[in-house]
Order: sequence, then C-alpha cells, then structure tokens
Amino acid sequence: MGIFDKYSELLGKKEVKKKVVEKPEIQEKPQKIQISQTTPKKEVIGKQEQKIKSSLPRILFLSKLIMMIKKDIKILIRSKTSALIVLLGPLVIILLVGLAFNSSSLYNIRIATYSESYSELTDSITKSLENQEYSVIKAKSLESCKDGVKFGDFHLCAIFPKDLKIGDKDNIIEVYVDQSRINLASLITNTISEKVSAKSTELGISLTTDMLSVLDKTKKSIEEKIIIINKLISDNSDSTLKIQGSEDNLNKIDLTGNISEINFTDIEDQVNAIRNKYNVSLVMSNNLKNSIEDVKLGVDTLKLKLDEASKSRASTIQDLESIRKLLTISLADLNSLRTALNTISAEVGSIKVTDAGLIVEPIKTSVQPITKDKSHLSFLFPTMIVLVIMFISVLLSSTIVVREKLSAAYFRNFITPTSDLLYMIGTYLTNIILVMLQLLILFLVSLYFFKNQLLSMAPNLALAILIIASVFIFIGMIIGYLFRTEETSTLASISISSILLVFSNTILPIESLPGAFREIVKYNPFVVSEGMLKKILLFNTDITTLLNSIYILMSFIIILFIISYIARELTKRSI
Amino acid sequence: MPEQLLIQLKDVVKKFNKNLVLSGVNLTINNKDIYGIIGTSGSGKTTILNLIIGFLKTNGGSITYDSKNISVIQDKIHQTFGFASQGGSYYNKLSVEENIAFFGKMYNLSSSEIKEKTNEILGLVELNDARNKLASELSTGMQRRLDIACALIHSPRVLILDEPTEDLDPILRKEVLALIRRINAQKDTTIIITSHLLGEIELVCNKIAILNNGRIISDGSPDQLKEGYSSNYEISLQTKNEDYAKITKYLNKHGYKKIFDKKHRIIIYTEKPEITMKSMLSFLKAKKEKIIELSLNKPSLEEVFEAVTKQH
Repeated sequence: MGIFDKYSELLGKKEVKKKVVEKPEIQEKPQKIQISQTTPKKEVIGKQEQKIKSSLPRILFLSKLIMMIKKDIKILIRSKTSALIVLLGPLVIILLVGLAFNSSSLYNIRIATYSESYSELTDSITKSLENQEYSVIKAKSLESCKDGVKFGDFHLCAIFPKDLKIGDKDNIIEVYVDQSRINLASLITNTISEKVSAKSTELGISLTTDMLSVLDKTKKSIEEKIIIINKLISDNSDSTLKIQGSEDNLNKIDLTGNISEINFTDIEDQVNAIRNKYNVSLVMSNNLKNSIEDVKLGVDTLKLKLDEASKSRASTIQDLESIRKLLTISLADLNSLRTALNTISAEVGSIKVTDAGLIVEPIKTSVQPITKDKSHLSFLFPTMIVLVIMFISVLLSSTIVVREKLSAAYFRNFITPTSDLLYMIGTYLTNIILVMLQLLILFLVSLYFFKNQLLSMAPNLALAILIIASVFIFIGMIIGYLFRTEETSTLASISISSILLVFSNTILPIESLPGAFREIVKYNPFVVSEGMLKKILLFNTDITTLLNSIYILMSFIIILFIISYIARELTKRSI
Repeated sequence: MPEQLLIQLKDVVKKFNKNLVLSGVNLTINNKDIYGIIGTSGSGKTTILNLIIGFLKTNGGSITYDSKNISVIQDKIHQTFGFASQGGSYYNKLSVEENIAFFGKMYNLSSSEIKEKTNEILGLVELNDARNKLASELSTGMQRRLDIACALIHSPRVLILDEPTEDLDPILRKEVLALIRRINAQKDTTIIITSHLLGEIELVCNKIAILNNGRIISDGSPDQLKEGYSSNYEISLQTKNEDYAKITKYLNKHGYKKIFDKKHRIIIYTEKPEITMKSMLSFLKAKKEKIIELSLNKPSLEEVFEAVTKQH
C-alpha cells in the first residue's frame, strides 16, 4: 500500500465516508473516537491527526491527478495509431528535418546565361559561377532564358551585355529570378551578386595595381626631374648674378673721359703764342700744328670709338638686363615647376593606401555569424522545435479533449465530487507529460546533430518549452471543448496552428506586414516562442533575460486557461 | 416502518431556451424506494434525473434531498448519488476493473477501498470473470452492468438509472431488472428508474410517476394507479388455431369493444370478467378451439398510461 493509499484510506474512513455514505451508523463511528480510546497520548495523536488532516486534500488531489493521467495515457496507448503518432511522430520529424537541413548549401541550382556575344570576361564570370552548387547553362535566346525561369527550368537567368569588357560604360548584368519563390529568389540573387561582385573586384584590383605602378614610376621620375630643375634654378641664379655683375662692370667703364674738354683752339693759340714767343720755325710750328691736328684727329677718332663703345655698352647692358629679366622669369617658372612637381610628388607620396585591394574595396562587409553553427538546421532548429511543439500540443490536446468529451464517460465526470478544475488540470498534465516525452525523444535524437551543445542549455530550454507547450496545450484544449467532432477539432487545430505559422517569421518576416497588424502579430505566441527559443538555442541566453517573453506567454496561459474552463463548462449543454 | 422522505421535487420548472420541458413537476421519493418515472420519448424523464443530480439547474421550483435544497449541497449530492445514464458512462478503452477504479478514485475512495468494493460490486453485477476485459469488448448487457457498477462504486444512497433496459433483448432486460432488485435489496439503495417500457417498470418499481407533456399527471404504487385509472380487467387468451378474427367478431357482436390482437394472443378488457369469460368459453367450445393459455389480470400499466394520458 502506497503512501497515497494509506492517507486516502484514512481520509476515506474519517472524511470521505461521512460524505460518501450518509448512513448515520457510519457517521456515528468516527475514527477519532477509536484513536482516543486506544491511544494513551491523546494530544500527540491529535497533533498527528491534524497534520494528516491538513495534508489529506493535497494527497487526494495528487492521487486523483495521477489516476487521471494514468487513465488518459492508457486510453491513448491502447489506441495504437495514436500511440504511434504520439511517440514516433517527433522522432520521424526530427530525423527527416535533421537529415534534410544539416547543411548550409543549396543544391542543384540551375543558372541560365545569355549574351549576344560571349566575351572572355563573360566566360570567366560564368565559369566562376559553376561549381557543385550551381550548374550553368547557356540559353539559346533571351526569351528562352527568361521563360526557363518562369517555367521552373532554371532558377535564375543572367543576361550579359554583348562583348562584355572592362571599360565599357554599360557593363550591367541583368538577373531574372522567380520572385514567387521568396526565400530562394533572394538567396540565389545574393549569391550571384556576391560572385559577380567578387569577379568585378578581382578585375578592379588588377586595374588599380597597374595604375598604382604607373603612379609610382611617375613619382620616381618627378623626383629625378626635380633634381635637374634644382640645378637649373641654381645655374639660372648664378647666371643672373653674373649678368648683374657684368652689367655693373660695364656700367663702371667710363667711356666718356675729358676728350670733349680738350680745346684744340687753345692749344693752337698756345702753339702760336709759343712760336711767336720763341720764334719757332714755321716748319716746326707746322709740324707741331700737324701733330696737334693728328692728335685732334686721333682724339676725334677716339671720341667716335668711345661713343660707339658707349652705345655698344648701353646696348649690351640692355641685352644683359633683358637676359636677366628672362632668367628671372625662367627662374620663377622653374621654381613654380619645382613647386608643382614637389606637390605632385608629395601628393603621390601622400597616398597612404598603396594596396590595390584596399583601393578597390576600401570598406569590406564581412558578415559574421553570431553563432558557431553554420548549417541550416542550427538556424531552423528553434523554429522547428516551436513548430513541433505547436502542432503536437494543439493536435494532441484537442484530440484528447474531444475524445474525452465524446466518450460516454464524460457525463460521469460532471457528477462525481471531483471538481471540473481538477479534471482540467488532469487533462493539461497528461498533455504536458506527453508533449515533454515527445520533445525528450526529439532532443535525444537532436543530440546526434548537436552533440553536447544542448546539454549545457537544458534547464533553460526545459523551462521555456514547458511554458511554450502550456500555451499551445490550452489552445488545443479550447478547440477540443468548442468543436463537436474529432474531425472538425483536428481541422480547427491545423487551421489555427497554420494561421499562427503564417503570421510569423517562418514564411515572411513580420517586418513586411503593415504597421498595426505587425504590432498584433508580434504577440503571436508562435513568434514570441520562436524568439525565446532562438535566443536560448542559438545564443545560449539565460532565461532571466527573457522575462518579457515569459510574461507574455504566462499571460497567454492565464487567459487561455480561463477560456478553456469556460469552454468546458459550456460543453455541459451538449451532453 | 414509516416511509422516510428522501427526495422531493416541488413545482419544478425547466426550460431549454424558450422550450418548456417541465412545468410544475412534483415528486416525492422515499428512502429505499424503487421509483419509476414513465413517459413517452422526449417527455422530460432524463431532464428530471439530470435536475435531481444537479447536472441541470431548475428554472423554478425546488428539489430537496434530506430536506435540503440540492443546489446548496452539490458536493453531498455528487458523493451520495450514483447515475447510470442511457448510453452508458464508462471508458471503452479501459478494462472493467480500471473503469471502476477510476471512478472510485473520482468519488474520493482510497485504493484499498476501491479494491475491496470492486470485488463486491463485480460480484453483485456478475462481472467478475470479465474484470480484465476492455469495456468495448463486453456484450451490451455486460456494458450496461458495468455502467451500473461504475455508478455503485462509492456505495451511493441513491442510484439513478436512466432507461437501463433500453436496447437490450428480453433476456438481458430480465438480468438487469433482477440486478436492480438485488441492489435495492442488498444495499438498501433508493433507486430512481426511468423507462418507456411500462411492463418492466411495473415489475420492479414500488412507486411510479407518469410524466406527460412535462407534468407528472399521476403517481403512486402500480396497484394504486391501476385501480385509480381503470375499472377494467384484462383477459388474455391464446388458442391453438389462433383464429382470433372469429373470436373478436363474436365478442364484438356481444358488445365487447376493447379487444386487441397481440400476435399470438388477444387481450380483452372488460368490467365483468366472469360473464365475459363464460360467454367466450362457450363460444370456443362450440367452435372446438383448443385453449393454450387463458388468464385474468388486473389491467396492465400500459392501459393505465393510455387512460391517464388521454385524460390529460
């Protein structure tokens, strides 16, 4: 006899029998009197009895719940089909999904290309697309390429410009995808864009490398030429100085003298005076006069020559001045040229980034996963878990409730002294045990794919799943109570689960929904649950940081519990 | 020993939306009674039972149990009443024993009490050999007995049986009726039974109420009802040749109008049974008809029911 039985028996004898059998003879024989008669320590027994009494409702409550759960599970197991679905369903789901999505690759993607004339560049791009994931097919015409996408023969059609080559302005590759395949379209487009972009970058790097090489050579050449210019400037300056010196020297030459001041008339007068005074012979006087005349002639000649020399000097000075000016201008130009070349050289030298890759792609986008896992399964796992919980919980609970409701025994449940609330709790517990059992199987199988990752987050995960499953179980229970046949209940369960699934991030991002509607959808229990599990499974977030989601789901549980209680009470009318 | 009043219905009214099902029903059920409620299908028999057990609420009037309004002692009602519904109320996928154990637990019994009472009840309903069989594997009669067993597990003071012999063949009916009598005799259980099979009600019930158009139009013991509503006696005749047309013609000629051909016999209602029998026997002797069975009875409940419902 178990402890429940022991206490229940006591209850049965003291309390229940008072209720069960209204016969006065039984009421008149309470156990208490027997105990007091046979036991010497009355007070001790009284205390023990009080303890037992206070724990009796709880024990009875528990033993009833256990009985309800056992009953529900027995009924479920004895229906072989249900048992198979319940126990093997999740196993099959996880195995199939695990095998199908345990990779991040796309397989057998067919890309059609078309160009009026394929260039070497076009071929190199198409070749870069071709690998184990993509097969590239050259379409015969533009129409066949586009139509191929429409009819599903190709996943994508890429139209290349005629004779694509670097330098052409209209190097635009047109890509046609089937937008109706929402997720695949964006995935393929992104992949193709990435591949073309990589090729484009590769070409850009090559061009930039050439350009940088030319720039480097130019810089070196400029630097060499600047040295020459410096020498020229220096020479120019020297020349200018020398010219200036020559000018000064020329200016310093006195070509005037006092020749013009020589008064030959006075000389002649003096000669005449001397001849007269000294009686110089005429011959001598004439000789003298002739000499004076010669001197005069020589002076005149000299004077002329000096005049000419003066003119030549002036002209030379003028020329030298012109040359100096030209040299000054030339020097200024040389200085200007040197400054310009220095600036160019400095500017070329100031180019810090000399790596072609960095110039072509100065900022790179590197999308890093925030988790270590890279397979689709890892990303899909939280969604898949919520999906499994939702469908199993809603379907299982609605089926159990509707079967109970339709069973002949349902009526008796309302006429026993067991409260409706307890029956509801029993149904809920049966469902939660079965759902948790299925999820346990699912997780055990998942360990094959996720190794030990799941174990570390098991406590958080278990609590989250308990809350999530509770929400969906109550939804299923409401459906079970509201619908009259198993078929309509199953249909309603699938429909409601599908609605919750459609308005979640699984098919379309909820961000694409209109504002007010999006605000409502944010509170879709599927969305809240998926968000919570993603944080736990992908980021190993502690559950205490997910209190908002927990509060939302707990609110759902309370509201749905109340609704399911009301729905259960309403079923009385249809019995 | 004076009769102890147990259940009383006073001016009970029940409506389903605007449909008046019961209007001013009055019933008095004493302790240890086997109380029959008869009426045509849809007359409100099951509704009365559901009101007594508290599953439905009245729209007027009162129902008392031990002089207390049932609406304020619902827990006590659930604990002291057993109910076997028309279609049976048990789990098909549970065995006989499991069904009884489950409902025993729901009736607050301990496991040891359940074990003890299961043996007792299974003995009473004669399902000991089938205790491990699934309910769905039982015959119809056994299922009916299982349903009664489920209703008896908590030793109810009042057992309510809604059409317990419905859909059963005559042999199974007899079994169930015998069981009802056994329960009443062995466990002093007050039994309330509904049926539209008047013959069997008459066999087991010590009190009968006739329900018609949502009202109790008559109640009392079967004899009281028969005496109150019919002065006729019932002659039942079965002959070897079964040439009842000739006999009927003869009797009609002599002023007997209430003659009914019941396949292998005819029933004649008469206020002067001795004269009628004398006349009929002389006719049969003259026609050399061999008599298989001839009996004289008080009028059957069927006749009473017919008479009463015609009056109302």
